[in-house]
Amino acid sequence: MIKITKPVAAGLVLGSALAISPSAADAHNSNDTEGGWHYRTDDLCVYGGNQFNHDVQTVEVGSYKAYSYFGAYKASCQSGYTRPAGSLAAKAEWRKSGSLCAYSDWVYSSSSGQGMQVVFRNQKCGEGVVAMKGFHYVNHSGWYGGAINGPSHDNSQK
Amino acid sequence: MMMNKVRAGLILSTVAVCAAFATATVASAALGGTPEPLLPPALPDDGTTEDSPPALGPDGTPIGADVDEITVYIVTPDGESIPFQAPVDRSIVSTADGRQIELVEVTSTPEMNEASAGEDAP
Repeated sequence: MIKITKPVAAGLVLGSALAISPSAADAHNSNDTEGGWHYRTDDLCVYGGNQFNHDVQTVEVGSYKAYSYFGAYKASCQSGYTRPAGSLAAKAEWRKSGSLCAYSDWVYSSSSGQGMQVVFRNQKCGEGVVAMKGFHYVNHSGWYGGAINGPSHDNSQK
Repeated sequence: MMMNKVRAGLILSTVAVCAAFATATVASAALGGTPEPLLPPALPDDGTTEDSPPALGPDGTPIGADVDEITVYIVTPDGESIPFQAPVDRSIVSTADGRQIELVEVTSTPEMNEASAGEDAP
């Protein structure tokens, strides 16, 4: 299990309650959010996060790189890294009692940017305890990223 | 004779200095080189769907980019995957730290919700 450990630069807030950010995560049960770094180099950092909040499930992929001070000191993964359209990809899977019950196709970014959030509305897999798995990738002369399991949520409890 | 010994000593000293410099250079490169990338978190190999995005198309654009709907599959208890076309609404938002984020909202259709809840699929 990977808990949210975003650095300051990754503490993005979309001005939306759907945003997977430390401030948003604090407003919910900690079990509702999972996230972490898939990849960290000076040239590219890939962040992935999942959020499961009742009828809304969100998968987020973020593209970062090191921030350079005076061309020398580099703060790892502290700067957003703009990638062209089609260079961010994400998808989601849902499981109930360990069995795959729903999944999405890959969703790609349609414009240049430094991140993408894919929001799925309404329940998947009916009532009961449902776990989600998010896939988060950034293209940088090849796909970099990975998948994160969780969180799980009891859809029967409102 | 004396000059030969001095000359041999000078050569040996030069070789020793060069060897020490080369060793220090290699050690420095090993310690201060580019950091190794972290590996993605280990996950159980449940391998139900693809683990990474499809390869790029001929024009360099990923297959399926810039579409206004995506396919969401509902898996029945007997393992059959039923595809549903879900409309996609895209917008660009700015984060508090000035980053540009694409927000993609996938809307479920009534048929998808019925199938997802375990009712008969259309």
